[in-house]
Amino acid sequence: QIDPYKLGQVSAVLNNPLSQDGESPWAQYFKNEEIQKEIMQDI
Amino acid sequence: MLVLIIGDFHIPHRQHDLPKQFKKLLVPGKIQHIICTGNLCSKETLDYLKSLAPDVHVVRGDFDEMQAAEQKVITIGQFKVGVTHGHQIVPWGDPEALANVQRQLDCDILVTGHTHKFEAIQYDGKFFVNPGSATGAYSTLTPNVIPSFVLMDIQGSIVITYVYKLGANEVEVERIDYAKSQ
Repeated sequence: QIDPYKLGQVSAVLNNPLSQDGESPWAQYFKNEEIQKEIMQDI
Repeated sequence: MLVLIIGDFHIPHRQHDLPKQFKKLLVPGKIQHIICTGNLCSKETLDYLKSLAPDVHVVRGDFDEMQAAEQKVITIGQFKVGVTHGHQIVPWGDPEALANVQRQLDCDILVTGHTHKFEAIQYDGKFFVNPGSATGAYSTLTPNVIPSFVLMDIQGSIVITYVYKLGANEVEVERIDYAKSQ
């Protein structure tokens, strides 16, 4: 599981909620959130 | 909970649009609340903000013609966030004067604009944020305005503030943490 808050050592340029970089922890966070939403819908 | 803090656009009087580098970052679906410090100065800019998030709070700046409140207090999670444009608070941007307003509104975070200069300070245990001007619009108060806005991530009693500034060509991001004193 990805928790963007626990990745303090990553620079803010990459590790920020608006980052467009696929490598950003936030990119994975938003992807997970989307999948979760879909799962909830299916249940 | 992501809260976008943005203002002092001055479109179309002093700038024609938001920098394209900022527009690329601001996509719908991520941000829950927008707090706007005013001086938009057009309905188009307000509509643009409404397209980004479901919840938009605007206060009226000294160049706004739309009807909006002079000041507002919004509760987000455990935080009371006060917002006002800031031209009413003299001397402009003065911490002591801002602290007066913060006590009046009884808020944990006070958001103001007007000076077109980014500022995030802790004063008397409270947090004061000025997102600067999103377009880098000309100001008589600040020479060489750098376009900037702020994104706050509110998690329980902690606020993580991300500052987005437009450097020479690319966006620079800085992170500032603030914890509410109990």
